[in-house]
Amino acid sequence: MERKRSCRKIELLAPAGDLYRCKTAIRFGADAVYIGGQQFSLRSRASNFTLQDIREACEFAREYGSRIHVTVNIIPHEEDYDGLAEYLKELEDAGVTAIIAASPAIMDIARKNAPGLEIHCSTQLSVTNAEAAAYLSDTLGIDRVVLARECTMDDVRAITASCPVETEAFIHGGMCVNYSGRCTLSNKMTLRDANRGGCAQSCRWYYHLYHNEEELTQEDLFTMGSKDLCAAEYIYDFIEAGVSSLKIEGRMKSEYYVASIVSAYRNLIDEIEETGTRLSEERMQYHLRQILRGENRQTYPGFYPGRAGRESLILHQNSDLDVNHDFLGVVKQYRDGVMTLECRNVISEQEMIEVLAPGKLQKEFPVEWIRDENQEYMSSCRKPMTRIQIPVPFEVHENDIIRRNYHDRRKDQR
Amino acid sequence: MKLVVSVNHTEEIRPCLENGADEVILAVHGHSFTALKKTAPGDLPDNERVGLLVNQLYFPSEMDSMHKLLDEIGNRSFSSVYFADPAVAAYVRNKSLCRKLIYRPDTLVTSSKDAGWWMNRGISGVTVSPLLTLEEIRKIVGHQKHLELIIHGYTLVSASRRKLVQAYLNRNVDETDGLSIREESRDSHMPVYETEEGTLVYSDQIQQSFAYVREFAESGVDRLYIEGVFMGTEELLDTVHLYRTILEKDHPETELDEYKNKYKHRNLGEGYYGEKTIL
Ligand code: SF4
Repeated sequence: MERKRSCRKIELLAPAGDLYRCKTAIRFGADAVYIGGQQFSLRSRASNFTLQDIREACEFAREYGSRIHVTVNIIPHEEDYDGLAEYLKELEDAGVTAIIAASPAIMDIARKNAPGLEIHCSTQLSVTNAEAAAYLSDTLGIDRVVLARECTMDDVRAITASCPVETEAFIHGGMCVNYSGRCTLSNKMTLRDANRGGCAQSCRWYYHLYHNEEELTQEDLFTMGSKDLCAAEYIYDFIEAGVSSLKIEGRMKSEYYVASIVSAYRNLIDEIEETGTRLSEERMQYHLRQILRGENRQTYPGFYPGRAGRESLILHQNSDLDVNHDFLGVVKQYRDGVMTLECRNVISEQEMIEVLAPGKLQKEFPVEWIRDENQEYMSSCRKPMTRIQIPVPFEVHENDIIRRNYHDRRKDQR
Repeated sequence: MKLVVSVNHTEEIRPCLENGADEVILAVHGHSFTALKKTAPGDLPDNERVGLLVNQLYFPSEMDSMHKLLDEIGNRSFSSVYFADPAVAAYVRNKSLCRKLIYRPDTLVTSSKDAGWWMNRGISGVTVSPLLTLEEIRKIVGHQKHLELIIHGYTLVSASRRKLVQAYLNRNVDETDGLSIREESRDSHMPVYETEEGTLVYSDQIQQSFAYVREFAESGVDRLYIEGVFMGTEELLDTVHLYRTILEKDHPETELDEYKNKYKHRNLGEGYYGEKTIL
């Protein structure tokens, strides 16, 4: 079979839980954004795009040369097909580029009813070799396969080298400890169906461990949660392997997460593509720092280094306490050297803050004064969503993100 | 309709067949994703009433071994081959072995349309997800022939490629048998099985379908499957015998009571038959 390879550059594929975050991801450099409609999508709580929102997302994406993928990735039960063909046609008409699906029947219905949509085979199917991908391509006409998160970098290379369709790999975000699509822990514990978007993350709960009658449990109870994935150090390898798309997980995440993670990976990918080489240790550390500023969970490169052992798991109950308060707010207006900021975390006079703006170098400056909307001066603002004014020594724009300065944050932690 | 049972040892094949099973399933060493005891490919007996569990997901370095096994199996007389990886279907496409394949992807088939898509690939059957309610099973079975239902045994709850117990204990785990976990606020234990390939967690309850198997059989289900994982030979034979009795006898109450009494220490339950999972 003739190898289908996209001639476009490697795609940075970002998640978005609503239209605002979708636009944020695109402005901050995502080549494509995946979203969930109100039906037929996993992560039901992160899937609130109406068809009107989807149309608007597609129009916005087009302006930026970006693309919209829609998850239609439930494992359907008998009653879940009602209205599916019509829905897929509406997605096609709206300008959606691809659907991400896990059910062969759904893929088949899409192929027949909305042939303009690309079909991307979801990671729920746990594709771990090129022969499986080729079979799904021959029988269903899929255009892309999202590789199982259990693949090592060697697996990714081997699969991509002989795969007749594009490959997509996860590079960042939450990671199931179990094979996708095959975990029913949540169903068992809470009757919430992981395969229809209701997972209660029961792998992260606490368990006693036994061997026959003997309890093997140690000081901390047994738990199975995986650290989040961060594969920044493998971006060069993905590009070299010929992977078509690099996917960030997290449709439930905040606008700050979307903006900071997308912009950090955008810069990293651009630098690798511009230099055409693996980055120096120093540059890599710089990019890693930028990426991890958007995180408040522990990360690990998943299976990419080989086996994912003890260091890839969250084994202690206090492992995620380093909550990230960097996100200070979103710029709502800028006029005559003063920005109006909608607050998200505590911000105080004299602290160093910086602007995260699409395609721009971060600029830092100290908070000289703060005043509320009634022009009353205050030493700090502690109430999220309050609008405050702060002077800025350079121009900023609506929707730019203000965060704590990295060095200032480190000072706080010492 | 066939009554099918998976076993831990080749010695259990004959007694299972004698006690009412139509087909016996063996797990194949290096190719099966299960806590069943495995049989090495070289030790698999030629038997037209024996099927094989070849349900692991294959990574690139394991493809040669998959091809070799399928070539070997293709030349011998087994009744069925369970698979989860589409690569298996790809490799035996247009070969006679294709007609022996049964798609067993654990939880991924929950509708007659998905089952039907797989049946149209020329395979012989599809195992539907154990997560379905009775109502859902009735609907699927009404729309699609050649289905298999898992009617009895511990069901797989999760499968990880990571060695979770070893990681937690920070030492090699020698005790692959007898491991279990108990959620901190509950009493029941979920069996755990860990090997080099990763960690499997099974349900705390043994699914049973005593009240429903006749209906399943009469509604046109092709195969009723008893999962032999974590079962000793005696329990396995008793279970096969009981289901055969229920299927053939109008009033099996005595046998049923005897069984329930003998295995009252076992945590028998009806799985998801009466409980619909929600979003
Ligand atoms: S319980 Fe954990 S491993 Fe299972 S589906 Fe949910 S997040 Fe994934």
